[in-house]
Amino acid sequence: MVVACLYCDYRGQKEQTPAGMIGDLLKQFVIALPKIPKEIVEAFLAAQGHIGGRVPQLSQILGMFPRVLACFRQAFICVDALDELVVEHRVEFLCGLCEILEKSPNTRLFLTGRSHIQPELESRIPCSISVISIQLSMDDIKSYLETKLASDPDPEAMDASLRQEIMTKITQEFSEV
Amino acid sequence: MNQNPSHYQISNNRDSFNVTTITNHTTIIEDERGQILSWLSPLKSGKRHRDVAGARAKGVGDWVLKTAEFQAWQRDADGQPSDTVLFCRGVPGAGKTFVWWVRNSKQTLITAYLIPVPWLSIPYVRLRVRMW
Repeated sequence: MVVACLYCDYRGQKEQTPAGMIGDLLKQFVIALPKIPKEIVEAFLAAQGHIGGRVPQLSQILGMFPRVLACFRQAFICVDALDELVVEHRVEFLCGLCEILEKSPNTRLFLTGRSHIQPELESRIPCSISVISIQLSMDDIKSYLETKLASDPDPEAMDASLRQEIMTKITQEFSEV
Repeated sequence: MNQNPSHYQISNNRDSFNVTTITNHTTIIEDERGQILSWLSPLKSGKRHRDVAGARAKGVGDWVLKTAEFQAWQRDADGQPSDTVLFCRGVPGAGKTFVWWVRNSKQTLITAYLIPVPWLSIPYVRLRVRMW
């Protein structure tokens, strides 16, 4: 079993082209193999034959996927914050993911994003999609605060009552949201 | 990444690429391997993963793993049919970063974590995953 991950980031929209992102996923799967498949080495060498070295096209990268994924019993692709991609890139990227799923049935997708992305996702990837709505729970807030308080760089500035006040006030405000 | 020199072997065609598993040549092999990997994509997801993993509070968000949806999705492909795609959606301000930490080993041990960013100024749901 193997997992590849990708972080979409609105600050990196220029670099995050569909070919770059799908290529990054492929790279992670290739790293998990004992050696780089021959067809990828050959494609690389062919690209080096061009002046300046030709970057791989999306269709070329997608073409390499089935053989690489066939090396694993199960593959997981996880992509964070789909909505942070520019729209034009997102369409191509989702279609690319869809192609990977179609040609490699041993692959699962884990995606996150804001709710408004869901209809687009469903239209680009027409297969069974399970949805979880993420909401921050009170337990999560408490765990987070406790961790932060425990790692306070200046513990002398904090006493039990201040600690208690922080816990109470923040959790109270959260419950009122 | 596996540091075993034999893993730097690039292809069966050893003559063309000067590939060998002799330790002295590890650097050369590593360079070629690195070049090919960089050619596949200039993006680097590993660093961001480490940044986020360091910020995670223990136990936060573990509830997601217990949901029927997550269980159904991560079910073994050899078992019952499972959903192909799992979509975690959240409004801006839900404030979580999700980490999927998979130990890609023979034990196939899977654990997952949620990382919160300060909830007062958070963006929203984030997923962090790393091949191990």
